[in-house]
Amino acid sequence: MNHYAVNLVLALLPEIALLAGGMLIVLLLATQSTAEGDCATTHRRAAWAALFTVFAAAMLLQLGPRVSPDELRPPAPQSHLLAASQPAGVVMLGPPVLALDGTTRAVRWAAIFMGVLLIGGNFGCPENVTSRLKMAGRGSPEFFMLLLFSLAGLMLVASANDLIVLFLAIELTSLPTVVAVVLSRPRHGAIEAGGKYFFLSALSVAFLLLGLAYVYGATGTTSLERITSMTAYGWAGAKGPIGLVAVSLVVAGLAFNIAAFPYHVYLADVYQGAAAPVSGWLAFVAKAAGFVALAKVLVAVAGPVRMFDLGWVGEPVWQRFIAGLAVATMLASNVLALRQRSVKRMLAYSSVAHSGYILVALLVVPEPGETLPIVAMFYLVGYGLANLGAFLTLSAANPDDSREADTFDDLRGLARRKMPLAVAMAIFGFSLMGLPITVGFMGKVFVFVGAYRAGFAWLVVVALINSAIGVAYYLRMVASCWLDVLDPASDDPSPVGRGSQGETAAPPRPTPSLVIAVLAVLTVGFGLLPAGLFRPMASERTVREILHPAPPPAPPRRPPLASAPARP
Amino acid sequence: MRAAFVIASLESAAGPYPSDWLPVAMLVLIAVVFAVGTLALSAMVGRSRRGPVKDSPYEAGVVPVGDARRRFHVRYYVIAMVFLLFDVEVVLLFPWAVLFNADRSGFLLAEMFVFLAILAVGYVYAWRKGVLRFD
Repeated sequence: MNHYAVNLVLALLPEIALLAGGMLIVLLLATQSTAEGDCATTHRRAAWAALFTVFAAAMLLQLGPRVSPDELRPPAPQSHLLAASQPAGVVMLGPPVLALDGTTRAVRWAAIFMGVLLIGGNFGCPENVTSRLKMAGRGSPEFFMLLLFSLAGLMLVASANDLIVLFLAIELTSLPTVVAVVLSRPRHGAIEAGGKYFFLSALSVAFLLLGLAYVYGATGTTSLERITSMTAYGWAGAKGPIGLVAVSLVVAGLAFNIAAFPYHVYLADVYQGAAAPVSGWLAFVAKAAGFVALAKVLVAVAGPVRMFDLGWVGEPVWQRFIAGLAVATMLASNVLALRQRSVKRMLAYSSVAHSGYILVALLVVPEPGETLPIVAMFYLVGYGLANLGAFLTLSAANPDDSREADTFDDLRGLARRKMPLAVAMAIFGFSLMGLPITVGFMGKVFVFVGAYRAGFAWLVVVALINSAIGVAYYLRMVASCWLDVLDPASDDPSPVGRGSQGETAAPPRPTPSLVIAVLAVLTVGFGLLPAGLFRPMASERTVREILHPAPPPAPPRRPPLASAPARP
Repeated sequence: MRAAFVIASLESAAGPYPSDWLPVAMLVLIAVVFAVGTLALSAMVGRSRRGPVKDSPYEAGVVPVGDARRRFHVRYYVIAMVFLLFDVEVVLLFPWAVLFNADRSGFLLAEMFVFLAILAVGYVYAWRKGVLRFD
């Protein structure tokens, strides 16, 4: 064992903990008999194991050893030509495959935070179920191991500094989600959703891989660090033809993960077919991984380059491209969301709209040591909270025991039937709309202010108009719960939502009321005290700068990189 | 791609001419020519002996029995998946065995055992789920 290997393991302790916990759950499920029996016990055990694993990962993240970036550099392969000219005792170091920067920290904490809530959202298991197949959609124990793998993949995406590691991490994030969608099985349309999701994601992965191959072909290296320095020292990057093709292909591939405009078509079917916690998981984990990877590749291939104390050098050509993508995504999805009759499909299209807002956040100038601006992560977590809450509330708001609520009509009179659920739905709806004292509002404020300061005033105006459109359909969701009389347009006597028809007579899943309550409290709490969400994710200075921004004139010049230690 | 890089650097040294797209165009061209060319070549060069067996979906020489559109036991797919898993594992073991000698630190050895352990966990899961039960 050399030091490099040990350092690598130490740097990845939280991820390793999650993966190990996931494998233990696999073994736990393997030891339980497949026969009919107490699958509720298995489910509960798996849930507790997953929860414990996530807490262990959090402990390791907080208390684990800090590994400096230079300790993560591998010894360069011994070259026979160089060996003669090399003085004895000097070890050549290669580019690191991991980079633990501010974004890594933010994503790791966000993943752990959302992981706890997602596990909580699937904690309950119907007691009177006899066969595993029957309960699959209601909450299968495999959900937990898949979620742990996916969270580890998300963390690895955030720490990857090499195209190969990045690609594998994206796959580790997204493959478990496909399985989880299919596992929502007795639900009508789960297989269809899983099939669509799988084949389209395979197609998008082909795009992504071809794009990464172009990057490699043009630069001759897979190290993001080397590519960044090539861009800094004159490689044309995205301004040249190969770089442009590469960036286009990478954006096309990752646009599937984040569900941006032309690649959003699968989302409505998938959200409708998947169980509620799986939809919440898709909306946060897949999106976060896509955005982090997008920021990493774009910054490496196309700049901007941070030149010591000179600030941002070079005009990043991709910004206009991303701005255009954001506008198209917001407009298309909002118009489509307005026309939905199923609440789940509406939430799916609005999820695409939120991707548009986060694309706006990509244009915010990141703080030093970040790839993805911290405000984007804040928005992602805030959106993830409210979205998971809305899905869980929806799954608990069944009008009768035989089926789940699906259409706006099904929500009618919820305030009379289940008052607390209606209150929670209102909170989540307001947060998704971006009304004040919710985390959604604060997220929008940070993103729009950041984009305005980065010089994208026109884009902020477009995003604000789109937020106003969004109010229409979210209000319809909230109003359905609270008003008995709906607008005549949706007053269709025979709702055609597919999710509501083929629902088998599986026993209703217990309402995850505790998690819904926690989500509602957090949604309002982080809206009042956004620092509470920022503090674990970002450094003290970053939090201060975002919450109390300096006046517009240029920030004072900082001494050139005092933190870079001299390499022996 | 290596050649494409060399061409690209030569071209960009000369200036941003439209021919900067040359490597991209070349890759597309090679892909199309290879795909079309192989088919065309086999159509031109290869001898064509038509017959009922030759026209059957699988030319393996085995006469097909029955219709392809029938229901297969799900075990078929699961066993195929488990087989693929271990097939891919062996593919990874070969380059590892070549590199293994160069590494004296034991890092590669440990890495492969971690990989094998992960596979073993998956195998135990499949086994305990009754994938290999044939009754």
